[in-house]
Amino acid sequence: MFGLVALWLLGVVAGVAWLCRYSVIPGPPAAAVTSWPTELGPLRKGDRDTLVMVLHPDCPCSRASMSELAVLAADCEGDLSIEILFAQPPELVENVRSTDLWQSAAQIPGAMLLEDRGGALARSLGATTSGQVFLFDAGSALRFSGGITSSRGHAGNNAGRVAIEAIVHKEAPGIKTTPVFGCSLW
Amino acid sequence: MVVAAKNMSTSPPRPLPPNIADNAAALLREHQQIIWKRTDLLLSSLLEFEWALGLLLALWRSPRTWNGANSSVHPHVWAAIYLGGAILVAPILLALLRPGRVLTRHTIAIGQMLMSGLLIHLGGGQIEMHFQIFGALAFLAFYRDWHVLVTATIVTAADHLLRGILIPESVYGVAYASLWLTAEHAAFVIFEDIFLIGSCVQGVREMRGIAENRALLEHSYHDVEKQVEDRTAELKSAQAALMNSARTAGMAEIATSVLHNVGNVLNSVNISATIVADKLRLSEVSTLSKVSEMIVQHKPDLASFLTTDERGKLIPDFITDLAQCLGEEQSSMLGEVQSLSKGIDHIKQIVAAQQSMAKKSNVRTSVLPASLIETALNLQPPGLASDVQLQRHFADVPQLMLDQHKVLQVLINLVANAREAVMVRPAGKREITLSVGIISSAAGDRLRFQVTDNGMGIAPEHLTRIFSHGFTTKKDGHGFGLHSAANAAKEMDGSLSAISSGMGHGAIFALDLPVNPVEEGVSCKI
Repeated sequence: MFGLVALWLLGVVAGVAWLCRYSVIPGPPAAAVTSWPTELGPLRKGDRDTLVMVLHPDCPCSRASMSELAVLAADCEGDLSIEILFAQPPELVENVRSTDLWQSAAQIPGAMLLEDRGGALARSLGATTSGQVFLFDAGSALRFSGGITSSRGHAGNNAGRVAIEAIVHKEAPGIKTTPVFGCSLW
Repeated sequence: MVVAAKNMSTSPPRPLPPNIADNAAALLREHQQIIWKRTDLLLSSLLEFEWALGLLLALWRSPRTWNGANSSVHPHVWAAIYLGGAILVAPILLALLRPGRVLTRHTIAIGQMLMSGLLIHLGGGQIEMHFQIFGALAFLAFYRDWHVLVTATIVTAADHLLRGILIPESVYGVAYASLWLTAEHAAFVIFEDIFLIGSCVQGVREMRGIAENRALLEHSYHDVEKQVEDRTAELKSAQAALMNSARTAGMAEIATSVLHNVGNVLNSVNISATIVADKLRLSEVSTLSKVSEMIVQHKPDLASFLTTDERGKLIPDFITDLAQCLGEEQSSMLGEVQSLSKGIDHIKQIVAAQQSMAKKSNVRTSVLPASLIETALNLQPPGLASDVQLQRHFADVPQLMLDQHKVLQVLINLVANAREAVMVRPAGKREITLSVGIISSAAGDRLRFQVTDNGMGIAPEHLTRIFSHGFTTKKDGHGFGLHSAANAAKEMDGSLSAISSGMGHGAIFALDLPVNPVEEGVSCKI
């Protein structure tokens, strides 16, 4: 009986390992821009850093990213301008504003929500995975690019958020890029 | 809190005798088995619920994964179905097939913690979902077996340790996590464990106390039961001895009863015999022998003697008077002899009745009830009619089947008692009324013999005792008469009752008997 239970435990542990493995497989790395792309127009607030998050409107994993962005917005209030870009693939026809993600994003104070039909703006940033954020300083230079969750759809403390907070608060800068965990944009 | 818990402890004083301690240990194991089996089923059901919850959570939070405009079922849904299902398979099977076993509850503990981890994962790692871990630990404490909590804690610690080493970002959100971080996370679980383990230990201590108390109670119960058995055996033995004594006493009582009844009749027999003896002693027969001697002396000149001699001339008249006198004597003695014969016959019947009673049988003969009253009066000592005013109220009751000797026994007693009772009154004011008739009662028609006197009466406090064996208010009484009369009434399926308005107001004694009509062609029935 002990042998059977051990076999069961082994099987279950293998399943858990598969799930964990799936959770930490990031999306394809982005060929990120180095400065604020002109397609996005001029920087809305030139006196502070600007963070742009690119989202697939239906990506369930990005709920965790949105949750982390809310934390970030609270931590960096007054020092950070936030824009959330809903990149809608050309073949996907739906009302972006009715999605859960849009509703959640609308709750973040001061955040600007943008519909990117066809995804041209997201492409100009080089974004490939939902949940990817780009942090530009007041001089339009890219300071950080990556994800702000530790794994797929998993909220909680993560290296990306810590790095962005450090940059915004003019502290010793840490890493400049992190893997992005979310659905593929294209 | 610990002091309070100790005060609440139900542990009896120690040490317990070995046999009670063994029983207490067995009772504790039995109690634990019940709890373990119950908790096995409860927590396996909880796992099923959690599995369903995980599936709903996956379908709600991440039903599909996207690749541009294309979507497919999210791996979390498959994980909820298959991994969740795999997690609960072993715990449920063991709970159903091997409930109460050590392996079962530890497997359930492992399953609970793995399922908690899955739910946290499917819930997106929200901090609220981590409460599931603490809830699961609390549920596992239902087992009251702290080892299970250790297993659950090891699973959680191992999960954090392994993932902290292999995939640290999945647990801590950073690419590198020190062991201290793992320890920090584990500390919360250990913090709860301390209280839960303490609670389990206390719970087992209380269960042990209950088991020991129960063992003591059972021991006491068995002791009492054994004592009851011993006492019952003693009682049976005593009962047998008592029955022997009762039998002996019963025989003595019967003998007393017989003697009493025979004694009553012997009084009249004795008087009749005395009268006969007196009459014989004073009989004129002796005078006849003198006359006879004179006749023999004057045999040669008998004719001249009878006609000329002064004494001889008196002989014919004397013989005529003597014949008349002897005739009267004969008649008187015949009456006394008849009374004597009746008395002797009654004694014989008393003895026969006693013998038949010993055989538990009754002899009923066809008899006119009123005649029994007359017989009872006749069997009384002489002088009754002159001492007392007797009144008779006899209804027209036909012949019935009666145990006449038992009825006589009762009536003789009642009349004798009534006679004694009225003697306290002055002559001329002593009345005894004898009646017989049929009365109607709830039990049907009954034959009633009633003896009413205006004598000394019965005190109210004595009314309930007068039929008791040995109870008497007479100076020279024995307390057998009414007792045996009541017994005789009962043996005839009848009853003997008494009514009195109190001292000085006389008394009424009633003998009620079933009415047994005479069947055609039957004169005697046993």
